[in-house]
Amino acid sequence: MNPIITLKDLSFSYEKDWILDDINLSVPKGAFVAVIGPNGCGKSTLLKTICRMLLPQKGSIQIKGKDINQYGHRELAREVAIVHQHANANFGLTCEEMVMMGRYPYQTTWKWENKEDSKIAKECMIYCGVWEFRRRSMSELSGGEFQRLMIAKALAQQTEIVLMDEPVASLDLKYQIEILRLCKKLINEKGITIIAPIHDINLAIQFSDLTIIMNKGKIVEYGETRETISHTNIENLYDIKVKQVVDAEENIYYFPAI
Amino acid sequence: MKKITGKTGYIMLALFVLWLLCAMVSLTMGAAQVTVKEVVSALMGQSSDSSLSTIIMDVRLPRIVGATVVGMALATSGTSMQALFRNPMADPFILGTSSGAALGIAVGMVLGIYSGMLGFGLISIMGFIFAIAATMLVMSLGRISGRMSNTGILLSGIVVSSFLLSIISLLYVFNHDKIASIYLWTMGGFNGVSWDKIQLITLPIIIGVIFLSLKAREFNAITLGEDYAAGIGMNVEGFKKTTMIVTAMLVAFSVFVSGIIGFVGIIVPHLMRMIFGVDHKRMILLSAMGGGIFLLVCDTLSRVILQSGEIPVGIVTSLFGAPFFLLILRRTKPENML
Repeated sequence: MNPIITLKDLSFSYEKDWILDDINLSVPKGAFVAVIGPNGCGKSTLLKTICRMLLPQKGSIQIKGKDINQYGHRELAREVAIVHQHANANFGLTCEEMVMMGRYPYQTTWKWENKEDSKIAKECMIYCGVWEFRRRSMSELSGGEFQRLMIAKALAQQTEIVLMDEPVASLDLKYQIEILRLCKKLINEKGITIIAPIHDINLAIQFSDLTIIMNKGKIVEYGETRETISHTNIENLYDIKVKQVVDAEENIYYFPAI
Repeated sequence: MKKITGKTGYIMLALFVLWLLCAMVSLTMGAAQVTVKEVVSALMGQSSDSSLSTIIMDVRLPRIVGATVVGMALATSGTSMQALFRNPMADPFILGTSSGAALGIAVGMVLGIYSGMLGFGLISIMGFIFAIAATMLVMSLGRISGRMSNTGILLSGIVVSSFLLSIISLLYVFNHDKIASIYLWTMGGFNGVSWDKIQLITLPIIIGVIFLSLKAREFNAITLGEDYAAGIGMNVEGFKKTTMIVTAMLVAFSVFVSGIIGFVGIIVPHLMRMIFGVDHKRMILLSAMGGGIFLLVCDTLSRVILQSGEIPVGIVTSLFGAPFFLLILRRTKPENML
């Protein structure tokens, strides 16, 4: 099966040090790919290069077999959506107006939102469980509700690829599970490919199909999650001792050995 | 204060009626008191009193149109800059446009270039050129690592403005005899505005306002963050560049007619946001209309407050606008602010 995203010899730097260093990656369609690694290892930068917010100095990126530089701005946003870790939530748009922005790639200067756009936005909001908030200002939402709203916006872009920058960071346990279940639902029901840096390795094990382990701008391991996230890899990655716990259903959990 | 959420069309119609009322009141007020009936007959070209007709048609009416168009330009520019830089204090003057214009005018006055070109004073044209040049300078200095940086542009704008204003101060020091005329011009006003100038600025300003209003979705997106805007398919760099050039043109055309009028670009957008909410799809056009009405009212006050002569309109915009603005500010919900 042809990969939906291919990165070849990709390197990126802001000034002199490489933030991404010679990255090679193939992501299959419909996979949930977790990215783990210490802070500053290049996880967010990787996402930003895949959606062309940052331009790499070396290498190439292909989305559905086509070089990323051959896509127009709107055209690329019809293929790749991104859910950012931070957005100005205090801007007083209503939730419905916010999700409607996901339809921007399908509009032009003269063609603004139409009934079809409203219908799609409504469907996406219902799917993500935020339709009841449609009239509320997005500044009134809790962290978990806001994250669901941002996923609904990404869904309204109708892309096959959704990049999520630490989607469960700063959420409580209930919302962490809720958001990751929603991600799995997107993959299973809509065939969307998700790449998401996740700090909690236990959540990555439970929800992702593939895992990229990054360190100092390089991919050190990439493969099936259960094989990639191993006791040795985690100890080497974070330079700490970890304990491995296996429950009755043979789920594996890792905890720092304090 | 709860925001007004009616249909934008109705609100615009209401604002247009308000503008018509203000314009009618403005036409009747001034050194020569005129009745509404006399105004209407002069506007219809049926007035038998030619001096009255001249006052209405060639003195007050161009002034009303000028104040309205300039108010629209300044308020729209302010709205755009605040969204672009996600900074409530940003307005076109922070880009160095006004200080550039002021320097151009000051240099013209010092050199005594009072000749005209195409019916316009060369001094005004110098102001226009310097305004555009200063903005371009700020745009090029505000690039960090090859990309336009918000912080870089704001800081460059402040530094370039201070630098240009220092040159103007130096000109004051060496040209005592011309201080009064330069200073008065920098205060801004519509005294003696002619139809020729109004004709020149109206079309470009209206085109600029329409252009920016067509970019409302982009302003909404960029207010949420540049990464966010890029993520939904916006060409962020191109949008920033275009917006800055269009706003600089709007301000330069305004300065060309009225000199420097501060405060409108800050107060009107905030006022309209507080009343009608933050969505730029309605905000840009409502700001334009609000700016037109605000400056028309201020200009009318500037020429009727004193029995003899008039006070610069920039003083009125601050005196009249500041307390009103603070009153609304105290009653506004945080989400209706930028």
